[in-house]
Amino acid sequence: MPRLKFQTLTEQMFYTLLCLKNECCGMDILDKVPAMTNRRVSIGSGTLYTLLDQFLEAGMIRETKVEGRRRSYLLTDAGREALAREYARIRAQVSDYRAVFGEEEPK
Amino acid sequence: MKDKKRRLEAFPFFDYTGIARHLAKMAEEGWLLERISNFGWIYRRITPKKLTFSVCYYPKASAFDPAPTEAQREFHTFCEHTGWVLAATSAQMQIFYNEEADPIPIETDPALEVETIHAAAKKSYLPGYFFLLLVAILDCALFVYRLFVGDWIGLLASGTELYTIFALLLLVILCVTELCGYFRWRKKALNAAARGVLPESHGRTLTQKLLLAAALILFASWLITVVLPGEPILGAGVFLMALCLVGVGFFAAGVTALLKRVRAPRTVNRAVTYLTIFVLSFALVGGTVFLVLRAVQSGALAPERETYEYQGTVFTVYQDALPLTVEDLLDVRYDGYIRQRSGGSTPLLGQFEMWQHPRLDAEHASEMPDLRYTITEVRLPLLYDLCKNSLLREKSELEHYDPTDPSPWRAKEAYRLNWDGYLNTYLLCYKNKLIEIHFSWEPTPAQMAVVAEKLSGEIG
Repeated sequence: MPRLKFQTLTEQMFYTLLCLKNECCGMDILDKVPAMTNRRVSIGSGTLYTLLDQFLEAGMIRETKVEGRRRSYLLTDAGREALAREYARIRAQVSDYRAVFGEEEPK
Repeated sequence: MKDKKRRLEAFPFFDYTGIARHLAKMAEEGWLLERISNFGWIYRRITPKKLTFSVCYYPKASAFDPAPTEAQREFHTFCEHTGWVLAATSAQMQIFYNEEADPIPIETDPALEVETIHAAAKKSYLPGYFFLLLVAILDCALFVYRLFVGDWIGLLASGTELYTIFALLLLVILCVTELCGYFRWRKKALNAAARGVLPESHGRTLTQKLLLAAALILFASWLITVVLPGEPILGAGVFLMALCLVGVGFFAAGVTALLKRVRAPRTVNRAVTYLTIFVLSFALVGGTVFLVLRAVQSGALAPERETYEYQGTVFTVYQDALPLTVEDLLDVRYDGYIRQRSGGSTPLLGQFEMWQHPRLDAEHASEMPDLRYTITEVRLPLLYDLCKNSLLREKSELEHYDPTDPSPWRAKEAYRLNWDGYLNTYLLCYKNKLIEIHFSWEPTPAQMAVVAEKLSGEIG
């Protein structure tokens, strides 16, 4: 079920996984995503908590250490695959856009 | 000036918008939610301020947890990191507030939020309503079964039975409305989530409010029309049982709270609480029934009545008012008759059983005339033929009613019981009354006319 669910990723899923290329805990992700996206994307704490739970269940991330209430995670091969698939999808979209509009910047 | 306030709040489980709006209004009035207990929501006084509230759900939590689990605390820490302060929790429901003007919401993915709410609802809210619905439907089915195989006229003539079935029907409608409300919201939320938004939740609908009002009106009218005038003993029993069940609820809530305080594990707390409810419900309801029956048998709940003893058994000397007596029909000189009347009525039907018989210790008691009759008053014309046919049919295989001349009885129809020969038992059909009457002698036409005069009118 989660596998099927993560065939495509939402922006929040994408950035959460992206943050986990290097080991970090949930609260780090809450700070990193707005910084990484120039505040364009923010993840709610509840949403992130659920996502981490589901990524763990789907084997897309793994827990690396627990320090009190801080649990750290790292991307797994399955997670990296999902990210790569999403990246390819976005690139395909970009390529399709360019095929229609050329290199011109959107207004 | 009190610094704490307790309020009974009646929000549906999934009314996150309504709860958040209500709590923001309370904070503006200077009251911040501090705790949710089984006995109400507790607020503490604060300086009135604008706060943003967020109601979210943590499906893995349970009402029986002694304290938030480590994972749940981690969730709270996540929320605190983005400025959300935990105000209170109630099982899966977690309520936070934020002092920032425009905080990042706790839930930013509507599809995940709908999924989380549904996972939480499946833990206790939905099973609770489905269980209640099942119990109510089973009770209704039992009533229908009794209507078909038992004394249905007696059932429809009993105010308590009729009010009980109305209350059960209301409960069925209430559960269905609540469950439909939830699933309607879920469907709407799923559609909206696919578009990236989450719709506002709805509080109690007008239908639910009307149903609750109807339940209260029903209860009050049962008290006024059945308990106070006619069935005080039964009413006292039912009222005592209801009180016991409320008491059980409070006691069980107390047990849960106590076990939480001593940090009993969730499974232990749940098992002990359910066992407490099960055992106490049976013990208290059984105990109440036993006490009421004992009190009725001993006459403690009945008005003081004269009694007499015959062959080691004590009998009550009833002297109820009867619309027709043996003395109205025969020249009898005996003042030791027992006159007994029972029954009840509802807006559909009334059924009263009257019996006049000599005391068993009277000299030549078996030779003295006695009279027994049942008056069924049909208030809903639709039921007249059903009642008549039922009374005609309800005899054993060996006995049956045969039509007889109704004119001496001044009735529309009259029947006489045949059991290997005619008995002095008749079924008389008047405009809205069906009278089944048994004489210990063969009545004369003059006596039949007296019966018609005395019984075909209003019941005295």
